[in-house]
Amino acid sequence: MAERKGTHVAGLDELIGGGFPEGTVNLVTGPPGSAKSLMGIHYVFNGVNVDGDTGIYLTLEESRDSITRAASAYGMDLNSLEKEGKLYLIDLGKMRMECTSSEELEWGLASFETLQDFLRNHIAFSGAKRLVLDSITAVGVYYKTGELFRRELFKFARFLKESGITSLLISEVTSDGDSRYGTEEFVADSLIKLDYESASGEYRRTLRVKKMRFTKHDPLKHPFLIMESGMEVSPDEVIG
Amino acid sequence: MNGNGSPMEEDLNNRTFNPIVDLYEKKLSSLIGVLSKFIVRRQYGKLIGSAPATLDLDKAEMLCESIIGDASILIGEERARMLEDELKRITEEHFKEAGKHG
Repeated sequence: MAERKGTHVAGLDELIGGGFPEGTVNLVTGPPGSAKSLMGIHYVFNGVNVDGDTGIYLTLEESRDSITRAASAYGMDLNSLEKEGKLYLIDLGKMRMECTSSEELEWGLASFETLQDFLRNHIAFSGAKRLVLDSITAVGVYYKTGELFRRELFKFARFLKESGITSLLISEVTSDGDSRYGTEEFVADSLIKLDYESASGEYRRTLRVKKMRFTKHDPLKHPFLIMESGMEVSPDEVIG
Repeated sequence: MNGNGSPMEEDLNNRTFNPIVDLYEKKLSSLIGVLSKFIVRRQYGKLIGSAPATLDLDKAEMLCESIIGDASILIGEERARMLEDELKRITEEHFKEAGKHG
């Protein structure tokens, strides 16, 4: 039985058998504003604080300031963990911003190949056990066809598994609720869908574990709240 | 150049580089892989523009600082400080050696 990497998000680990199986690639999807990044922040922050796992949060679009501010709003001080060398918050988006589009494409700055090469070196020296990639949607711009994207994503996911790191990949969804490239969920070992819905004038955030290999999980849709200390899932409450 | 005159938009892959630039690239490569090429060549292009590819000690030190600035985003400040020390050592050795020969 593989060791579990708990998210330590209140109520979530109960739904997924205690956490993500070690060395797996996990996907969280949802529309903008559905708390995908917040879940990623919880995953690396709690990983350091509760389990002592060094973590990498690699952002390709959101700025470093935006991530640290979001974390800080819920009492998670990422800067301190960075100073202690337990967390690496890597803002590749900053580098992308400083390039022209053609230069970025020419260098494949945030392509799967470059990320793999970078992470191989980084994991070796940092000893990181957890990775958040925010987001793989941004990587899609490097691939002309969905087929090519799928093939490179497959290779990237395989690399992550072989490296032993337990990863959480963030992906946006289309207005139909499908993942942006329609292939991410096939490659990942698990899929958690975040969403929000309005029922009887009430606005609710929802979470559903749609897939989880190696785990007897709860596939039902559960509400969650964003409280003072971040996400809180209600495992005993089911929607629809 | 590819049209708009910016050294950043030159074909950085095809440039001829100063030996010290190659040394920086190799040192950084062990930490961040192929991104080292991007960082070093981009900063080098920004520093020298379209001038002949020569670096004196002052310019090499300026290049070091720019590289460290970019690298700290990727490897964290502590490791970037260690890298800075190594690049400084490489720079000193390079110019000492160059002085011996000419």
